[in-house]
Amino acid sequence: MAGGQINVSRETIGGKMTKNETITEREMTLLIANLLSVKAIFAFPREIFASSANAAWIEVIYMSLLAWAMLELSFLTYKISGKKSIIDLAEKIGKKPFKIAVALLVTAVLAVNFITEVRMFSESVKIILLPKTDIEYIMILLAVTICLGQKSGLSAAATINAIFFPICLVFLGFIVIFLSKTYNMNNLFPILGNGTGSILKGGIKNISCFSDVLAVNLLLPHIQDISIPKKSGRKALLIASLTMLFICLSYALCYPYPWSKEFLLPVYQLSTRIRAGEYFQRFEAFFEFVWEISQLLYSTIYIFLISETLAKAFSLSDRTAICYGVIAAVALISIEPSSVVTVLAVSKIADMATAHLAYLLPIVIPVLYIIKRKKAQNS
Amino acid sequence: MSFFNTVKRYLLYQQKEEKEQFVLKKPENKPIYDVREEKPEQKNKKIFKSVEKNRDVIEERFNYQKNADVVIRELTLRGDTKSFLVFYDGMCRGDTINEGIIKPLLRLPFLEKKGAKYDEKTVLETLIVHNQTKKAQCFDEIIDGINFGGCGIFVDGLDTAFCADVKDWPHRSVEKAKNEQSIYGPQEAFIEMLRGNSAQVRKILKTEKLVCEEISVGNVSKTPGVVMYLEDVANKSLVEEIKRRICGISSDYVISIEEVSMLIEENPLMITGHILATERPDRVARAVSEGRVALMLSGSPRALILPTNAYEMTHSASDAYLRVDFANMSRTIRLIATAISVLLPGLFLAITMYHAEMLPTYLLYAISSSRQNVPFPSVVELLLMDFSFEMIREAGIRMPNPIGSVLGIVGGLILGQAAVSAKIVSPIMIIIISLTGIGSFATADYALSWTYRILKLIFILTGAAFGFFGIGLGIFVYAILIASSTSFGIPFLSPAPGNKLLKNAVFVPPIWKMERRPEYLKTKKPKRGDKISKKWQAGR
Amino acid sequence: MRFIKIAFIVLLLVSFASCKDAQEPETLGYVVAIGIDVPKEGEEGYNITIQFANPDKISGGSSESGGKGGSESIENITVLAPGIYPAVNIANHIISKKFVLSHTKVIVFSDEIAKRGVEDFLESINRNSDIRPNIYFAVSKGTAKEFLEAVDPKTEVNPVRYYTMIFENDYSGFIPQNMSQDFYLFYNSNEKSTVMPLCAVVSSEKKDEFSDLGYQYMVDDYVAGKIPTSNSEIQIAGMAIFNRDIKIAEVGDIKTEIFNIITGEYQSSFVSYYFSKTPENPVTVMQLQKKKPKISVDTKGNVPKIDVTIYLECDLSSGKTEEILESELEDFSKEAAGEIKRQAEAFFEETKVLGTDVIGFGSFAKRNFKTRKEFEDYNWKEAYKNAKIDVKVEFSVRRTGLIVRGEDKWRRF
Repeated sequence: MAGGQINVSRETIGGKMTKNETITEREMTLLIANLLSVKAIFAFPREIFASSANAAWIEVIYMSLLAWAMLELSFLTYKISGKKSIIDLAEKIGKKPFKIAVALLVTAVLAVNFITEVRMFSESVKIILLPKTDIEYIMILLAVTICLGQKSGLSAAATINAIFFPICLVFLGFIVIFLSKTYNMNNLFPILGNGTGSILKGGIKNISCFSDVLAVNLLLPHIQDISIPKKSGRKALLIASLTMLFICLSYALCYPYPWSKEFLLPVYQLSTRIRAGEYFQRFEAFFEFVWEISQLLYSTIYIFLISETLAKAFSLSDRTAICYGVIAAVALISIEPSSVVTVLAVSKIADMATAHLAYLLPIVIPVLYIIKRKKAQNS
Repeated sequence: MSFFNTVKRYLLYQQKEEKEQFVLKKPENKPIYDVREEKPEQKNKKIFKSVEKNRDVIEERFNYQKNADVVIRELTLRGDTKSFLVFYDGMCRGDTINEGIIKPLLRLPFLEKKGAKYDEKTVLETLIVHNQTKKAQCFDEIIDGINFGGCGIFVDGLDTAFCADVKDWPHRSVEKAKNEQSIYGPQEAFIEMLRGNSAQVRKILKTEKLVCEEISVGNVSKTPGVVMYLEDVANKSLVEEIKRRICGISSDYVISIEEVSMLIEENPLMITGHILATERPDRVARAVSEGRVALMLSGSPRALILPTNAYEMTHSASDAYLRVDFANMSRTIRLIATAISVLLPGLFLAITMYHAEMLPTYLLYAISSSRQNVPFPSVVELLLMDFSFEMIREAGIRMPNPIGSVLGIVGGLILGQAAVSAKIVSPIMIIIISLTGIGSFATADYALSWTYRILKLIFILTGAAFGFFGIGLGIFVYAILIASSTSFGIPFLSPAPGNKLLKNAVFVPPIWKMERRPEYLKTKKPKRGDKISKKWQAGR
Repeated sequence: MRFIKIAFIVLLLVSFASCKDAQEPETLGYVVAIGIDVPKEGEEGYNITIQFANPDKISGGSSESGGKGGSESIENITVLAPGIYPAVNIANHIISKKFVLSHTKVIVFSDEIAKRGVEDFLESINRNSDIRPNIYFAVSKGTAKEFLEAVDPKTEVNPVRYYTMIFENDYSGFIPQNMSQDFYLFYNSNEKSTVMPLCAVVSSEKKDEFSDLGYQYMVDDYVAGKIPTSNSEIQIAGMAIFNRDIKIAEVGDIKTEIFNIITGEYQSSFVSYYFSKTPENPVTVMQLQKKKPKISVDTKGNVPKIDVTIYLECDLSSGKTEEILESELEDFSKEAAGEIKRQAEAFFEETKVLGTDVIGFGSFAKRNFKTRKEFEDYNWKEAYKNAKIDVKVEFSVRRTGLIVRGEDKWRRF
């Protein structure tokens, strides 16, 4: 070995990270729980309260049962389709045109969520933390950070998520516990709020709350064993619905009905009311800061999913180049509406249009694939 | 005379005679001998049978006319056989050469007939009495040995020469570890002698499975080193990857192990280092017994431990020697000190400049009134005090010891107090900076304290520019960058959350629960102890 | 690596362009209290008084001694403006420091403003993230400007702590516990009416009132139109009852105490009762409420039926040497319970006449309905005017302090 010849081997010895990043079960659980809970934290309670008054927590339970039912239906097909996401299956069904169509549909569903989230997050940062800074600056910073984040890959984002997301949940727990002095049981009555009819209708209208279960299907190529997504998906849905339930319960207990549908940022309002003694009272900026990290992780994962979908659709070998384009497009589109009111109205319509796709695509496409395979086997 | 010269110069305007200034000229000829461009036939030049020819080659290679510390001693053995010794004065132990080489060569062979010729076996096995002697047939091997403190022996009529390892140069004795102090536990530290260091580790582990593979770094300096690992535990591909990287270093002179660590690291420009350097043999022994690989180089009193993860770099040597409660408390204090030293100035700026509603009202009045007379904005004040503190710290390293510590105290207290009285800074800034500084002294690793200083600056800038939003962004970017980096094949943040070993990495586990080796090292033997380590507890 | 360099340059450029939000703490003026008054004849808008802190006097600057505190720690300035935020804007042209409202503690409405309606201000308070949701409201008899100018925190260096400790004390029950956001949430609801504490500047010659309910202290004799002398001091006691956002009545301290007891906010205080067996000396006890009152509302019949059960206990705190109270604890408890019941029923009659359900029985009535529509159809506001309220009081004496007397006279229980 002393100054001798060097054998530079092209094979990797002793561990280079492989290109196809894999994530473990716990990371996948917390990742999907993050995707599903961020909506609960930012704007969703207002919509749920608008449809069912103080019976919002009943509506949350109803919605999570619906989402769970759809998820289980899509799990039934895993035995036959295996570790392939719907884009790969679409290629097998109808070759390239069908694959591109399905990929564009998936991108539309994801992009609607993402654009709303980017704009609402920047707006909430502007309202709470930095009132005078222009929103374009906040978006530039967000975009640059997301680029850096997605450059590091999915495993890194999943690891950091597995460290930070439980901390966010612990903070939520603090809020719920510290607010117990201001709870008033009478705010929960009348029990059924606006009536059972409005709960049922509202549940179906607001089902886009849990529409990120599409990610369970899109992350299928990145896991090691086919039984992992089932366990992870169920656990993640449980965590997310518990989070949503606790937030809606505390919000309903603190604020009586007509005003609970008025506040733009419900959880921020909850955190301003925390008071435990004279000095322990002004916590909301800390709280926003903890959430910011979970929001950045959400954006990183979304960018990863969108760019991977597009890369697979157009058969590109590297997904990093698309990321920059996607981020730029998302930032420009989300800056378009000039006021928050327009954003809320447009996003509501767009959500209703695309949320049902998010639940139906993971069921319909594998079913088509199974039919096609049976036909091919029979003939 | 010079007076007249001055007069001549100024009144009669005579130009001063200028002496010629020295200017480095480019070398015109190529060097006679360049070790890097050795042709194979030159490299494998065989030793001649004739002692005069050997001597000519040696004198030419060692530049004997100019090199004052090369000694060539001629001897005539029994039977009128000529031979000579070559060695460097000052690098060799003179007594050993006298007693072990010259005396036997001159006196001992009373068994041979007169005029008999010697063969290499006889010379080596019966005549040279030194315990580490090797024979070789190429010049290069003998010359390499001589360059590292050996004594070359050439005998007439033999085409083999011998090299006896008689190295002895002035070196330090074993002292206390200055930079990794621990109240309990052994207090020895490494020295600059390679064999001494590997012996210090071997005397702790005492197993023949501890392998010290030899490596040589540097094309010219040929610094010897060892790669230490336990053969039945360490992962084979890890060892091969390390050796592959070290062999891939192509540089003339590599002098210290810190340079080696910079040359074999995957991310040398990142803020956080990914290799652990320690000067305590007990720490190296502990790491090697877990399945890691240790690297040592001659001339460096530090050893490298590869691979590491982020949590290991915050451990200190004393964690293994304290009781569980005390060690955990010590580690908790260290983690809090780390958090304070990195985040406190940035958070302070963010809160007072952007989110003043977070502070209790009375504290805000105190801050506001104490800043009334200060002419600078907060950022400038903080950076000014921070820079002064860093200057004091840097100066304290270079001062001789008694003055160094006094300077620290004087600088800190009086400078701070005087600055407050002169109304250049506010008192609260002094508190922030001193807390930060004290927190940064609490880190266990020297390289890591530099990481924290750079991070502190980054957080000051982002906190002052964007408040909490900026600090959150900074934390996210740093976390993502270290999560995606690897250290010799293992992710830098392993064990991943969800792994049971994570709490062993962050907190000190009781010693009777450490029965498995870390999984991410993928060792050959995962178990290192029984499930019940304290058999005496199971009953009489 | 190159990307990181580009990102860093972008961040540097953006950061230099965008730190508009950075405000050094010493350039800000911290508003402690706001007072709102009606303008003079012929003027539009409101007279808004801004009371702000002088941090130098509070904490003594950069020297090591503390501040002097007292009345030097706060300053007042009055401007004419259409609302709170425009007032802050105008004041910024008079005082050099920029006013921030995020540490405001109290907002004081004058009596006339409360009678006209406070709705305009509630909107601006709740839309902005500046003013926090747990500050205090108060209605001042006289002008808010006089009240704020008479504030002189004698024992406090910190004016903020002065307000906090007075408005939030839990050792006397004379101020209704009420945060500003609660007022906003319930002022427009059909299940409850809102209240605000009363405050005023009183002269040194107090006039105490003795009504048929017993000794009662009312914040009634404010100095209207006269310049407060150095003997004047401020007091905060009693509450004002609102219907929606208009003040319709005032209530003294005993009724405020009943209000606190029934809403469950009451902790403890010293109360004096007239005992028939010791007619000259009222018996003072320290009264505690350990258990919140039980309220149940029955909406089935023509009129709602409300049952209230109050649980109180007390420790004896005063008594004369010759009179032995320990043997008559039962009788005393019964009389005190009867007294409280009488006062509670009087309070309820008054609220029924005014048509405002301040305690919030409507919130309990909601439990009988399944959906909001049914509750709104029931129209609690009208139904409350004819409600039948039945009060039960359980009052017991637990301890007698450090002295126990008259063992031979105790009845065997």
